Amino acid sequence: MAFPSPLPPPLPAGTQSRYAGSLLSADELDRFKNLMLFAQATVDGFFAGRHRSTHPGSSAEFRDYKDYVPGDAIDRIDWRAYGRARRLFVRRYEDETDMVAYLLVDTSGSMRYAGAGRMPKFYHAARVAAALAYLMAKQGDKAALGLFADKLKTWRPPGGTRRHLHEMITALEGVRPDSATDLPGALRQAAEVCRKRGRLVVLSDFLTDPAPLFDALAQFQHRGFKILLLQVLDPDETELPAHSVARYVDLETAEQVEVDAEDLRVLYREKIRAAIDTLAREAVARGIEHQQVNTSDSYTLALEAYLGLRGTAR
Amino acid sequence: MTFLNAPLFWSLAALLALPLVIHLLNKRFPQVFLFSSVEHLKKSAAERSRIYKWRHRLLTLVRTLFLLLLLLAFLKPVLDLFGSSDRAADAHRQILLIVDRSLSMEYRQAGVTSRQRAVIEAAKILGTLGTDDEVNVIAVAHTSAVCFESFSPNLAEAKRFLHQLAPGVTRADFTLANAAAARLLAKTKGPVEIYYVSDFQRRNWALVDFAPLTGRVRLFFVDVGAASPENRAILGAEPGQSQVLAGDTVPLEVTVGNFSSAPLDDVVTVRVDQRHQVQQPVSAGPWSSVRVTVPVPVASPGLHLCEVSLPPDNLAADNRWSLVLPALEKEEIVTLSADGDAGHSPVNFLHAALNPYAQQAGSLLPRHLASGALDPARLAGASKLFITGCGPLDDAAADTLAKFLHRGGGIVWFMDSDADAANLERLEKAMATTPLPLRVGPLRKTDNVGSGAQQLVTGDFNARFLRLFRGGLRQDLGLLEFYDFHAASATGAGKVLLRFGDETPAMAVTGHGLGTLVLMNFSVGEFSSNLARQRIFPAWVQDLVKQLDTREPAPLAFAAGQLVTGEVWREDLRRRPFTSPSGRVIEVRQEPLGERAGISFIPEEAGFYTLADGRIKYAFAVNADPEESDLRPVDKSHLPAELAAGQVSGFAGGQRDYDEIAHGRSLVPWFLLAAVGALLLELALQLVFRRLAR
Repeated sequence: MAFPSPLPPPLPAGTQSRYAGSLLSADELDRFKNLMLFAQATVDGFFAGRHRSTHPGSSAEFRDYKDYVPGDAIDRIDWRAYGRARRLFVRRYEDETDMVAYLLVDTSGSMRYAGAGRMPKFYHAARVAAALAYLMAKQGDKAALGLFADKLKTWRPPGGTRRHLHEMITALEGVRPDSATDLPGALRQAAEVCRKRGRLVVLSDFLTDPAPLFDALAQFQHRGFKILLLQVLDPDETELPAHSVARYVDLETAEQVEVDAEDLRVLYREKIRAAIDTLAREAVARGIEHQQVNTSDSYTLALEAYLGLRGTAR
Repeated sequence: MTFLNAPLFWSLAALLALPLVIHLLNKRFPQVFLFSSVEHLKKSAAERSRIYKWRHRLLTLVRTLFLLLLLLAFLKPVLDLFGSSDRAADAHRQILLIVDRSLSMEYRQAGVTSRQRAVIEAAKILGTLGTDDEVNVIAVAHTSAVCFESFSPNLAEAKRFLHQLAPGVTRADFTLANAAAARLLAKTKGPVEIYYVSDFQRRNWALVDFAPLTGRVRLFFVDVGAASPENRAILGAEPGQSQVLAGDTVPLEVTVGNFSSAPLDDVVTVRVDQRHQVQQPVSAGPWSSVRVTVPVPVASPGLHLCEVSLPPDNLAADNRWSLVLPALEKEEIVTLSADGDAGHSPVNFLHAALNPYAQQAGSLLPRHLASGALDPARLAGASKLFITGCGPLDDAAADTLAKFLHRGGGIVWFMDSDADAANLERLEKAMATTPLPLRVGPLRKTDNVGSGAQQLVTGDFNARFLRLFRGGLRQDLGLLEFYDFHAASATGAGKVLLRFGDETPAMAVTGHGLGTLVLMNFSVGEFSSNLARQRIFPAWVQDLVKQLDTREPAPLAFAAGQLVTGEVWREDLRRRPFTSPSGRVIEVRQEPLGERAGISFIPEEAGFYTLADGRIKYAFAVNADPEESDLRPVDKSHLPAELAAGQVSGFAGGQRDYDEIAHGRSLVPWFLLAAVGALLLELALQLVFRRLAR
């Protein structure tokens, strides 16, 4: 199976060789090719040793018993079984699986950025999305995938089969992050194709004005969607890379600005932190979950955020 | 300010552009960095203050300054001292050392004399010279000794000259040294450094003439004097009487100087002929001199070598004073009068004044001569004549007196006789060309003693015959009353020394040939004046005798460095040479004077220069210059701070100063310090900018 190259579009002559290596190494490329395996390993690893569906879930469908251990909820003890066997059993139930998770992944040019020794933000987002899709499929839920930049470019409708999962992962693997971002516009387009109420997970760097974003998300909230904003950022974006005087080129607009990172670091850090805090504060104010995911962090952080979301959705 | 490595500047100047080049390269070829969004970078940069935006230029400037200071330090900057930059870098130096060799330089402190310190400092100065540099040395005493005819590169010989400088006993004549230096300067071209190595004793340096030093010279004063020197010295010694007679006890008046802040309490020792000595305690306050009288017995006629001393101190040379005491036989003084010396005649009073001692023990032996018996034969053995109560003199007697005067005799004429007017008229006639100072009228006598007395009112106290009445002692003349005197008036010849209250001349003096005539318009008789009853009378009479002697007495002592003259028999010179105090035979300059010879020499040592043939026949005492004993230095402001154009001066001392004069003062440490300051400034700016960045 041939995968399209995840490398960014060619840069002006003379600069390509300098930039290429900083975005994705050959090793990273190989790892990215095994996105399915990665998702599988990540999700299975995350749940390894855990009791499956320990939460009662909304369907309350009985699955089996387990021995009572101190710490289990007392109201789950099956007193009838105790009468028969003189042992304490706790009843366990299958979780509800009839749920759709809409995964919207930002593929704009800014997601192409990769800090030194780290993979590009998009790859991190793609891996999180793949893992979530795998998790959905594994739990019997349905997952949909939307890839957007200045518009919704790719849409995979909800599905829970393994084939559907492969299609989503294939779509993720075929992405070439480029062009500018129009997140509100893409969300408005997505709102039209997300017909069934469910969970909306948006993976983006959210380096945009928050007001139009929340305006666009308002229609999802109105329709009862639970929304999780996974803000994928590289540590360089919060700390600035360790350069002195450098000409910074915007990956989306190609705008250039020449600054001394050392001199601006503190001020820049304050500004980017203020922007992230504003996004998080606005999200919380609207009942939207927000989680910053750094490319240097573990992928499980995103899974935990998602699962936390699911818990609160109940 | 100059740079010793100045030629390297242009080869290293490119380094100065390094910070600017790096700055421009950063601006021109910055590292291109792809970033997700530059929005926040733009906002952050827009909020920076204006000075913050200029920080790179400011820091570039500071870094350039740092490199510049470092580069300048590498070029070895030196501060030009006293016009050292006037000399071309490749020109050789010419140094003239003018070293003080006066007596004061022999002051010893911490075991080292100022002269020895001067030699050490001079050696340091010579040590700054290179092989192409030239030097000359002038040793300054009363005369100047020059090492080379002209400037020479022979440093070894100059050092040898310095090390062979003998201790000085004279003053230092720096005006003479400057004249010698000017002659040396005339022989050379280019700038010359002149170093005065001295203790700057005030007497030597009070009036030094620097005007002869023309051209491009730099004067440096190197003070090698001791700190707070304290000294005591014998400043002089002379007998208290004009003539010393054999067997007499001479009151030797010794002047002791105490040139210190502590009082002097010591003992003066007088040693005569190395055989016997007399000691006398002496006390003097701080910074003062005192005169002490030491009775010195003189046993026999002839020359007696007398040495006065104090216990040695740090300057021992001036603690001794040498003098030669010539002991004479008695001198005959003729008194001329009409009467003898019996009873209360004025002659008797004069005889008592001339030799007031019992059994004629005094140095003067008066002999009476009747005025009627005056002839040349009776005056042949005398050179001094006192006339009082003189009878009428004929022309022959007047002629005898005139010739007596012309040959060098001295006459003191008390005009107390009725015949004096006529006698003096005859004498004036006999003297022919020499008018008398007084026109004498009749004798005015007072009938009643105690009424109509005249007193002396005015006098010329600078005259040698009134030497005893100088200063406050002139009040002794106010006690005198005169009852008998001649009506007289001044002729304008000679000089009137004393006048009575009515302007009548009381004392006048004139010369005739080699002799001196003193006219006293009064009498020493007891009914003519109260002069004979005064205590001053004998002293005055004896001083008149001394002052009548027109021959200059041989000085008792000479100062080192000054010309010593004398008269000796040529036969004595042929037999024996003169020897110095150290026993060295000296060359004396001779001038034939018949069988005798005039001799002269300049003594270089203190002590007795003698010519002895079994016994001492001639002796000249030579002493250190007493003006050297006050060791206080001259006020430095008296030394020239600025000379003519192109001439500078200053004080120097120590190896560092000499090096700085030779090469300038090194500013390398200051430039390095400034470079460190520039680094600290950059650090401070970085901190400020970092604080502004927050």
